[in-house]
Amino acid sequence: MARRGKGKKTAAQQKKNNELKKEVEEVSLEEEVPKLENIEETPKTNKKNSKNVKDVEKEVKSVEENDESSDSDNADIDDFISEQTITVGNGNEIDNEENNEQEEEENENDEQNDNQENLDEEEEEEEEEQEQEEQERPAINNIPALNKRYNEIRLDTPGVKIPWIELQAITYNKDLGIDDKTVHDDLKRELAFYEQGLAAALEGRKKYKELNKPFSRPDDYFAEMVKTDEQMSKIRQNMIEESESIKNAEAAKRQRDLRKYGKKVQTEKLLEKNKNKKMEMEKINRLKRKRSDNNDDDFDVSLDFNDNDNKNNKPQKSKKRLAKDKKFGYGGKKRGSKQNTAESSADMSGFSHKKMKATTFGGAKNKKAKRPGKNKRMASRR
Amino acid sequence: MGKRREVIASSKQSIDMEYDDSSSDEETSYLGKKALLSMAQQNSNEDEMEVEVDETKDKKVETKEKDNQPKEFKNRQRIMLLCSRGITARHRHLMSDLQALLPHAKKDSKLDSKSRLYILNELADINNCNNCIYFEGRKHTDLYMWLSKTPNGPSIKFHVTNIHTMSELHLTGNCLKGSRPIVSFDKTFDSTPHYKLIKEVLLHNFSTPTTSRRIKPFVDHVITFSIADGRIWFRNYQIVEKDDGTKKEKEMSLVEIGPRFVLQVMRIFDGSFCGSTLYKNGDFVSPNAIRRFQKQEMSMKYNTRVNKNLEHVKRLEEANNLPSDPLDEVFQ
Repeated sequence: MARRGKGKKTAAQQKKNNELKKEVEEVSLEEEVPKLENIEETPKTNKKNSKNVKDVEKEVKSVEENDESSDSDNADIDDFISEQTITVGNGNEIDNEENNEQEEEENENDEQNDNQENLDEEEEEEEEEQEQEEQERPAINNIPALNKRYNEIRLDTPGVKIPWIELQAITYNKDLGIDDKTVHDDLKRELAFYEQGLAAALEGRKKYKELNKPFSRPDDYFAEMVKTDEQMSKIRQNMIEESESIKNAEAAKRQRDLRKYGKKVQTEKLLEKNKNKKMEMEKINRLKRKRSDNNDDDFDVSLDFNDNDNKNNKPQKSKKRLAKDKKFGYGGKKRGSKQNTAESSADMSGFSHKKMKATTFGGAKNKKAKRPGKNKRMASRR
Repeated sequence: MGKRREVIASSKQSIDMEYDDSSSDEETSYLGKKALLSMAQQNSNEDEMEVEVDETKDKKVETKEKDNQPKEFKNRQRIMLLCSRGITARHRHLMSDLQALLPHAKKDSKLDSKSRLYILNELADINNCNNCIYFEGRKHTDLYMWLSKTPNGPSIKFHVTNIHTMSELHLTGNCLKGSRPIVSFDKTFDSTPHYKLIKEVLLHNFSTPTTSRRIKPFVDHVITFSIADGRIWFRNYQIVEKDDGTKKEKEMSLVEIGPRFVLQVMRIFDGSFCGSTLYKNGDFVSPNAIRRFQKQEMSMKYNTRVNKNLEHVKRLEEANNLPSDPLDEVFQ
């Protein structure tokens, strides 16, 4: 457990000494480091210095060296573990002080080994730094090492001929046409990817044709698919629903538009209606005039109404109206119509002798005795 | 365990030696093997297992030798696919999608530890895998993807964003389970060394070997890797061919199957789940930092409001703090 503790401490120290680190960068690989603070710094600097040299040296390194380093490597792995656990917890510094004294010795021992075989350690050390570097964020791009690694793992090493069909890899030679602006435009971006895929598929088919191998799946070839039938039916249903909803939305939109124009259309219709009415009325009047030349009577027009719709739309007069018209007159001159004439004054038809006798002038015939006045009543009392 | 890693590293070296020697004849390889065996003997004092591991390594060396001969090229890739504890359902779905797409993948159970990733190398070895895709979920929100060439590396750590799984209904395509895809790469992959390396690793992982057991004939889907905005975009399309009868070739179109995701490179390590950093993306901002900034912005708003109130109170106090009148207490 001492080792674990040590790891914790190293993490803490690394944090403390971040600034110091830069200053000590000149420290050479072989320098002896007696003090605790410096112990941590050397491997880092070593690593940085040796990063480029590393690749060359790795090859030169012998198996024996490896053997020797096995112990220190063990320790480093433990360091790495504890480092990782600490970064999650972040409560490291308190624990460290307890173990401080023990570890000083251990550290020194380890570091001596480290100095000898710093090449081996680099790998582990780098990872210890991970979290810190992430905070600082200096980009690393070790091109020679990357190239070397690439050459190690690549399948198409010189001398090896790979038939295309083994890998089925195709490089899209056109530019995708996506820049910082269009990358957020879903449609454009997806279209670019689609085109890349399509180009690859077309080329792939061509190559399959050349090789005379079957490319497309025949319709009667059934096998397990990536997506289950259930999933596909769900998808199909979803598609149907989607298309329906689109249709519905379109219809609703059309309706809305129509409503917008509906009023306009309505007023237009009204105007037209009025115009038609006017025209018809004119026609009727014209007809009426024609009729009135032949017949004096309005009723004839109304009688003819059924025969000829165009003739008359005029409403008929009611009987009452006609009677009143007969009584009081209709049309013609009003002035003097109520004045007495010689004939009317000589007319005695409304006069009755009996009626004349039945009533007194200004009173009814069988009038009840009226209550006498107050004076009379007072007098009679006495 | 450290011992075993040591052994692996040494065997790697021997392989390196062979590769470097262009004439890689029998003698050098024999020497390499001899060295290995001597190594194994030294280690065997403590543990018998390690010898066995060494022997398997030996076999691998032999197979690699065979690979060097031009006619017998065999793409032997097997992937171990697994995730850490604490991934969300969506992440898990993504993983199962990948498993469906990669017939040469072997799914392993969740890894308990997030710190001791080098265990994966042994796990892969046990499963006879030489690639590993490891999904690491952090804080139940962030997903990281490790692509590694076990046991010797390199390994690449990506941050995975914009995940859409196959089970989403708007991804309507479908393809045979186990049909070999055409893998398409953007030309940007050839531009820089780190992209080159990434391309190679992606190719190893996503191009299905012809020898894989669960493959089906015919090609009915395309996998594309494109680089935009400094990220790698993954898409998987179904190839749909329609026969018009008019043209000689069938008309081709694509329908997306899924899944979709975007990978942002964080680091490339020299070893497998260990080793020095060969590449580190300076543009990468960790999701934690992003969240922190967002929170900070929110708190700034609040703080300014609080400060404003404080200032107001202060001003009020100053206004109320009139000089004391000496005549105040005269009439009391």
